[in-house]
Amino acid sequence: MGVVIAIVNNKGGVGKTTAACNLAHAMGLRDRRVLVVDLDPQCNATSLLLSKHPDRQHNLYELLADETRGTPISRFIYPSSYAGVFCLPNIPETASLEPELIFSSPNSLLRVRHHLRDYVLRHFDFVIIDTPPNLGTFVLCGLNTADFALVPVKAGSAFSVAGLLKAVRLINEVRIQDNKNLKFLRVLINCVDKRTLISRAFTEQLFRTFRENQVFRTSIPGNTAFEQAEAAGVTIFRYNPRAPGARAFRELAQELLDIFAGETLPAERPHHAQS
Amino acid sequence: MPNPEDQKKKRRTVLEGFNNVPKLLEEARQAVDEVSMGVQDQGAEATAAATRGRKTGPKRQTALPRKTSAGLEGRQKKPSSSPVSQAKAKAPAIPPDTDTPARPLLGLGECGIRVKHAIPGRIRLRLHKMLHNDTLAEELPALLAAVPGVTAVEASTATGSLLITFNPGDMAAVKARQKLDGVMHRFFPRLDTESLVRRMLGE
Repeated sequence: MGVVIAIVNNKGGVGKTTAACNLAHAMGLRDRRVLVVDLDPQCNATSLLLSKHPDRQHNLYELLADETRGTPISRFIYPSSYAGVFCLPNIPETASLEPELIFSSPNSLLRVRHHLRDYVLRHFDFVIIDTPPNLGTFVLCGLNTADFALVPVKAGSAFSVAGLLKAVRLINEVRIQDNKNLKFLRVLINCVDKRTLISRAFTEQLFRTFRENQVFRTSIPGNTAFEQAEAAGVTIFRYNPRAPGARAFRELAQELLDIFAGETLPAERPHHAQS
Repeated sequence: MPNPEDQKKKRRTVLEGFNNVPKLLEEARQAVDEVSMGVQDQGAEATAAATRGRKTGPKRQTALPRKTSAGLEGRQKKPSSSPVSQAKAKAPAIPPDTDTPARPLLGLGECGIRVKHAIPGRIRLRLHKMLHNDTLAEELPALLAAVPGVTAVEASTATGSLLITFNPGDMAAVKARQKLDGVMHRFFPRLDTESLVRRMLGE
């Protein structure tokens, strides 16, 4: 069985999409099957992972609108250009579904879970849900589907810590109300620049405040290779596998595997499209 | 060349502006604790308690046989049996403080310490607490270097690695153990230092 991890933070620009895509690729490089579910209507993860598959017939819109019309869930999942990495794409029109999701809540907030969970747990080792930078309905859909929540923060950004606080409170509410199995995974420190005092002080303070099992040992450095890779429409491993950012994501993937050692026992693997 | 005074001033300004972040982080940690309630195993809770204790400095368990001089003296006089077990057997039982609940000492792992490599005379530890913690990386080696028998200490904040080189013969002495315990207690209030000594001496 796999695990579903939602990446959440109220603050934008803390590296949710970057973490989702690069972590997925890092896991893929370690022979794991990873699915990235793009819950963000900005569709950045979709365009990064599926840039070479523009002809996508199905997407998350249909799942959220409950318009699957009996289409098997496997048809919604597309292999990316990275081995072992798959993506459930989103389209910008999904944003218009938000009012409907609110009016027909709480059941509408469980749609993604009902459609996806059973299938993806049987077919993937890790499912990473990329969420938009807010605490709205899409984030709730993601948290209702997930087993774990990972919260990235940007080193030196007090606003991202405020976002962390809000995200954790929301996680707690979701855990109490709809998804009792939801757990807080860890805080991921992103964009660490050891040259700046504020970044160093922030990182030190965060390691000092949080417990060992609440923050990832590996932090992600600020690295221009991320922006360059983004501009090239590829992950950092494809753009420059020797970049410090790529190294950090490799270590993060290993740390994540260590955390889940013994828990990720993939069940039978029916052949799924190409890998 | 930038003026050192200006640089100092700038550093002060940055750190003053940073003051509200620890409060926010503390609030966030408390919220995370709430989420974790009931979903983490007891071992994790114990580790967490140990890690949290480093700031508030919880009262050290009073019923510590190995800490009493009687126990340590006894161990010296009868070297035939295990020093630790003998010290424990000899120590008088001190009733626990009624105000603070008795809290048992914790092993290395529970205090966020991993032994990466150990041979007699040299041990390499990984301290989670020392990751990106310049203060600890400066203070701990300086204090450890003063422990009888310790010949060199190297620390790295990037990896949290602490390399201690020592003379095994000297480290076995009671004074060295007491001093080591005193140093470790400052940073790891609930650490069972004997477990560290045993790994250092390969017992």
